[in-house]
Amino acid sequence: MNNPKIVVIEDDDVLSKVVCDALSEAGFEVLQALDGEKGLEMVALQKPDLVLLDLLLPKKDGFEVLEELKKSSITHDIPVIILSMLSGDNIKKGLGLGASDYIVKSQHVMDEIVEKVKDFFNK
Amino acid sequence: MRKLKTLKQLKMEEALEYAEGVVKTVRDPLIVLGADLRVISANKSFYRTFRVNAKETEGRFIYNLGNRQWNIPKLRQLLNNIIKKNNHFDNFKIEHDFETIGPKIMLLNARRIPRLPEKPRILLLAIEDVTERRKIEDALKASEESFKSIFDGAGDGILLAEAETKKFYAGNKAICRMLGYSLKEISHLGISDICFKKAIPYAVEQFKELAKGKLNLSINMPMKRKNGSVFYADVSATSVKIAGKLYVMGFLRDTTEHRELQQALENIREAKEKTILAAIGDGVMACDNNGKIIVFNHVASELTGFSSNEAIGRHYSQVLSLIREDTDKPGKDFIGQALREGKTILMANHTMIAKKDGTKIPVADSAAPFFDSKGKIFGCVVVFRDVTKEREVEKMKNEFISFASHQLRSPLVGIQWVIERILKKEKLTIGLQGYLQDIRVSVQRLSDLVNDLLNISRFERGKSAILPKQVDLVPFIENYIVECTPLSIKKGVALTFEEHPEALNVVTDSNILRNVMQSLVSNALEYTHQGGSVKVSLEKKDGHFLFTVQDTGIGIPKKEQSVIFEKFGRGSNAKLIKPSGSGLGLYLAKQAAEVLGGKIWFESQENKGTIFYVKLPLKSKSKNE
Repeated sequence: MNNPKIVVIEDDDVLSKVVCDALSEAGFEVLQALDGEKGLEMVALQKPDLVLLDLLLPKKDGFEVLEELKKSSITHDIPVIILSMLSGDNIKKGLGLGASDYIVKSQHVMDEIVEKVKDFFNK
Repeated sequence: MRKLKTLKQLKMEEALEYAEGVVKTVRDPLIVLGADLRVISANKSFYRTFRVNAKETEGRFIYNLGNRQWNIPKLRQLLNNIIKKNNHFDNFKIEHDFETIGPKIMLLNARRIPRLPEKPRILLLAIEDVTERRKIEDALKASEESFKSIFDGAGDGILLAEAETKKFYAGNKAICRMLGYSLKEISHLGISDICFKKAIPYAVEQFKELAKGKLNLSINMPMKRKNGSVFYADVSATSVKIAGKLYVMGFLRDTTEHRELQQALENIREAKEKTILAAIGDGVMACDNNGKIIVFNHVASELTGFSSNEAIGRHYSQVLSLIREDTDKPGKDFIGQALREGKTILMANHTMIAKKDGTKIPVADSAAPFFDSKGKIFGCVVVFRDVTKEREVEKMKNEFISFASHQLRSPLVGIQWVIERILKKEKLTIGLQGYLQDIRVSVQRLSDLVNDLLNISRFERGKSAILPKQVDLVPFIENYIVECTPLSIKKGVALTFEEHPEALNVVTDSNILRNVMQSLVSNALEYTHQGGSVKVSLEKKDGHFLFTVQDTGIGIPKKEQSVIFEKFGRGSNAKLIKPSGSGLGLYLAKQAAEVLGGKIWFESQENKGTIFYVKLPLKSKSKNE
């Protein structure tokens, strides 16, 4: 099996860079999108195995992106993990819209996030 | 042989017999004197009255009677006079102090027989003892005088009217002053002449009842003076019988001045009340103990849409329509509660008033009962205010905190992740590694603070979502203990989790629970000296679970125990150990425990240690943001 392909939709370039670097090092093929619109395009084009989606995004926020991904026949099967600073109800809303899991950025060190992603593919 | 009496002799005997009979039967003392003023005879009444007997009296000279007690100069003069000149004297009054019977007042009546010009043969002296009568008369006179002085001296007007004719029979000076009539004029007047026109039918009606003796009247009513002016008087009246005749006696007190004073006071009070009420920027409403509105100021009118005229007299629930902001259901009846329980009750948070026109505004405040002198509740004052602005400010503040916290967290997470990667990937000198660790600790502290602030703003908005999920607390806590182990080793404090059931499945928001746990365990580790211990335990109790953190640390000083759950509340000894602490951790832990439907408390002894208890339901209710 090829390395799983992951699209990271995250507008904070430092966070995005660190996540992408860490995931690449862990052996994933990582694609970076810095806003919602770019992210949607990239997912539709690349059909990744997983999307890591921030919620507060420029141009199109994470919920809209999620909604559209789940609506589209091309992308609706692609799993999405929410990677956000927001917690509580936003997570509930995200899960309600079809996200597979969520990670609250501030609650985890980078290694844990990589582990979570690995666990996801090992399930 | 029987000697035949002459006609003259016969007449004389008859006359004497007649006289004897009169003397004996007369009730007043009577004596018969000869022309020489010696007593021929006296009647029983004389003996009784003057306490003498016939033996001591008959044949004696009148002036020598009773040890010369009758030697009364006046009497001598009178008797001399009558013998020489007069036919008689009548009702001649003498006062004399008798040795044996004391002072006496007597009226003397005397007759000489026969009349002038013949020489008198006998004198009839009737003595009327009027001592008692005089006493009574004197007393009567005195009483009449004192009555008159009371009657005329009274400040209240007194009128006596004949029950039958309704005409006045007597009045005192005060009534003359009051009505402006002379006594003579009053005696020509009747009840309807002194009443205010409109009050006449009523007065007449009352008078009739009074005249029947059926009523005691007491009323304040308008009266009319001679000059036509009207004044108010307290009138009390009752019926009296004098010498068998029925009268109505009335007492009048002019209350004009009293009324004016009362009115002035009332005006002042009202003005004061109105000014105060108007000056208050909050809605003020007072109701009696039946909930009927009695005071309603203009702010209350603005807030409810009801004018004070509309509101006063109605039940408060018809005017102050409270609804809950979150559910739109009727709000708690805090006014009724205040009236029932007799204590000040605050309006529930997030209460709105539905105005008369249906618009809703957020309000806050309280109902405070008031009591009469016996301590019985007789109403309550409700103060309420429009909190739209406050809510907006509060909302803005919270939004700002939330926004700022969120915006602060992203770069913080960025720094943390980057440090983590550097430490992992790059080859660094020991010194550099140390510096990076320092940065990490600082960033962690900043990050914790930002998290606390964000959580506070959530809790305070009442908008902390609760997402309960099934969780087995035993591994959940164990994992957390493992996370804390490096810190406990570093501090030299034994951190254990030994007392717990094998498994304890609960439905709770694990993130919020984690916040509570974090706050308590990190505090325990922070404030326990090297060599001490921190024991975490878990216990299931009916419907609840109890999570405890027991340390052997510095404890919380007694005087600061009451503020420890307050925002920024810290123990003075804790401040010495860790000056940089925010004082938010326990405040948040308490908020969190309460949000989950539980409570938190502690037992602590300074320099001995502290046990924190967290009691939470096995199943927390979910709540949306």
